[in-house]
Amino acid sequence: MQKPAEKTWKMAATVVALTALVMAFYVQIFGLRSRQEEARVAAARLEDALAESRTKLKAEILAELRADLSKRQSMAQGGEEDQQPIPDAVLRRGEDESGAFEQVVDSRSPERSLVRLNQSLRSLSTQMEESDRARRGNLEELRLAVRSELDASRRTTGLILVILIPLVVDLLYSFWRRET
Amino acid sequence: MKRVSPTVLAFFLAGAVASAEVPTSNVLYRVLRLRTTAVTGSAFTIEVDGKQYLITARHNLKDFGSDGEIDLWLGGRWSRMRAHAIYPAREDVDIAALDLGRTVTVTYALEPTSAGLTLGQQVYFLGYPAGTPGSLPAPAGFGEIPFLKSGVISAIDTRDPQANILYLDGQNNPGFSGGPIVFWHARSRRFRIAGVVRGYRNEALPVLKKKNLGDPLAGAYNDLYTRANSGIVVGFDIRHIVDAIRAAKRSVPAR
Repeated sequence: MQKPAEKTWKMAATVVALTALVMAFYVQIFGLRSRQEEARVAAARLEDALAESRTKLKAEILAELRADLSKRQSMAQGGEEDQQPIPDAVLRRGEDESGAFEQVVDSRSPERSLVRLNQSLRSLSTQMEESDRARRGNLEELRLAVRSELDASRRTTGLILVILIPLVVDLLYSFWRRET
Repeated sequence: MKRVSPTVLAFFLAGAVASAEVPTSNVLYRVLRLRTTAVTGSAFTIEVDGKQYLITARHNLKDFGSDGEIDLWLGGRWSRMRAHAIYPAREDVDIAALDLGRTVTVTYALEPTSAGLTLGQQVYFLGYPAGTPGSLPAPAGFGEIPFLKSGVISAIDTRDPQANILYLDGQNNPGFSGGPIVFWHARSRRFRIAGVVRGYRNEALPVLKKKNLGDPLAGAYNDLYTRANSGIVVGFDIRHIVDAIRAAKRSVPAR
């Protein structure tokens, strides 16, 4: 005949073991899915940030190019800067046929425009490539960290299950044997 | 992203062919009016191994010797400066360099070499026809903008390696002696200095009686002739003075 204290203790242990088993199953099945979903959302956010950064960089470079262009135009049209010689400038009279020659950096010069355009595009492309590479590296590191964390978690849960299942089976079997 | 579309490239290239290259500030702001005890002529600056030299025709420095004073028209007035002269070994090469010990013009890219000069190519020569003011005032502290004249390379006499002569088909005038002869170098997409103006060739034209003006075979009246500009400009290759400057630097390294 089993003592009441022993029966109570075993009952409590069985309840705890069953609860732990249910929780371990829950974590193994639903918790992992949730973490994977979190990782997926984080990756999507990072991609969005990457795209936003690329757009911002492009806007900055375009603004810089526009500033450079307007500076050249203001230099060509007059102002304080034209008091000093400008490299590669030609002397041209204005379209109004009045006044003296003015220094004009011939922005319409196809070769110079092409060179400037190429330089700007190359610079833009290089900067974007570097930025993309850095962010993709970060993303990859993050993914690896998440994956290793998930693996560790899965292994821990598996080990708990390995311990819990025999224990629960043993407890239930002992109850069943006593009853019969 | 890295490539320009062929259509755009074709457009730009077509534009490049259509646009004529004219001397830029890199050339214009290097030319100066020079006054010595002998003459008033033209001069220009070049850089050799990072140092600026004033180049002119040798005959503009008649009786100058190796050291002395010159006047340069800068900032609307004559400025007197001490100068050390460097000459090519051959006396008949009409170029001279003056070491002023300072920079007097812009130093924008302008290579002193005739490499790439093509027979028949359009060239420009710059200078100050005697007594005629330039086309516009230069920025403060700079020389007067020079007259810009043009011609084509008619011949290059390279028989004497120590005295290469450039012949231009162009209308030169007194005062241009010592000015630069520049050309557009297509590969580098920049102007280069090919040589230095020495002067122009005269030809003798017979003085005719009015009634003989229409007769191509009429002889000179009373053996009278007049001098006329033949339209042939003569200059010397810039490399002779570049070589002389380098030789002078080797012989006196610390000046």
